[in-house]
Amino acid sequence: MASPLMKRFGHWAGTWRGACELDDGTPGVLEVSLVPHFDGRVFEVSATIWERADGEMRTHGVGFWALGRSGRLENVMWADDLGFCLLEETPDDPEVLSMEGTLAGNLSLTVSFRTEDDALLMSSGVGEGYATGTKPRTYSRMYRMGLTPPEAPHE
Amino acid sequence: MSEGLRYYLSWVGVWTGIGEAQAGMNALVRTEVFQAVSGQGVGFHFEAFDTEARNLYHGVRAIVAPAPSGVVRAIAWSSIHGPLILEQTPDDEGVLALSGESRSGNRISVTFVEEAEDELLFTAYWRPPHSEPDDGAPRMAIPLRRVSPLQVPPPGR
Repeated sequence: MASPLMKRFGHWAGTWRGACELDDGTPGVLEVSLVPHFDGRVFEVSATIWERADGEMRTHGVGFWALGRSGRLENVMWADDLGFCLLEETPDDPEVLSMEGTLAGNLSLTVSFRTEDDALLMSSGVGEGYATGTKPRTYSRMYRMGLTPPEAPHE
Repeated sequence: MSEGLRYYLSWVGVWTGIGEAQAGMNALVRTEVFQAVSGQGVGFHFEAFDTEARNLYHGVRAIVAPAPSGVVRAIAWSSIHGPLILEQTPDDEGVLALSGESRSGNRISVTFVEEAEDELLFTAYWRPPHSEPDDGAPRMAIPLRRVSPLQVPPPGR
């Protein structure tokens, strides 16, 4: 029997890659991998961004997605340029996963994912204090690398 | 990779052992240590079972990495405690000590001690919120040995 996390996000499992525009306008490539562990009770989600021009790695991070007691997703994460953060799911449309957390230095981080047709869309941004959203965000439309799992366990 | 973390690359591999869980029962532990996050961190996959390896008592996936400030912490997900951010506490070379609080306020302490070549001692302890530290309280203690690949003799020998 699929875990509640797998029921919600099992169809996102795998590796996704797409073009992105970095917060300073530089063209980049974003790759996100979602790998379930412990019978689908947690996803290890890693993300890497390269500059499109020369393939130089710009930033990368990893987080663990799991459902909390409230049923909302919690993501404890690390990124080489941001450090450590606990992101918590914030209310949004049913097909959207939005998360927000606090970083060191009175910064906040917001990340959102949603699917559109066969693409996984992600956006992320860092704001100062309560001014979340005032700075440029990173956007990407990613497509699955490799085959779609034969049986998507979500309902 | 930071110098402080580089040492633990010598632990990369699979480790197993049987010892005592904090609740008193025997536990079989399998831990995999791996290089993580493009070489900037060290990952741990921890599983504690009953001694027949049929029931998972506790599962933890963790990555130890440096913050931009240089401070080393671990992000982890525990099947008992949920999401965790643990701080590395200073200790001797050959020791990895991490501690922190779960979201529900449990105080958690985890230590790997390199006791000899290919031997680690894993200890872990947690106590509920508002309880006083107790050095004599039971804790999980598992001697771990490195798993070696099975050496199959060539045919004819």
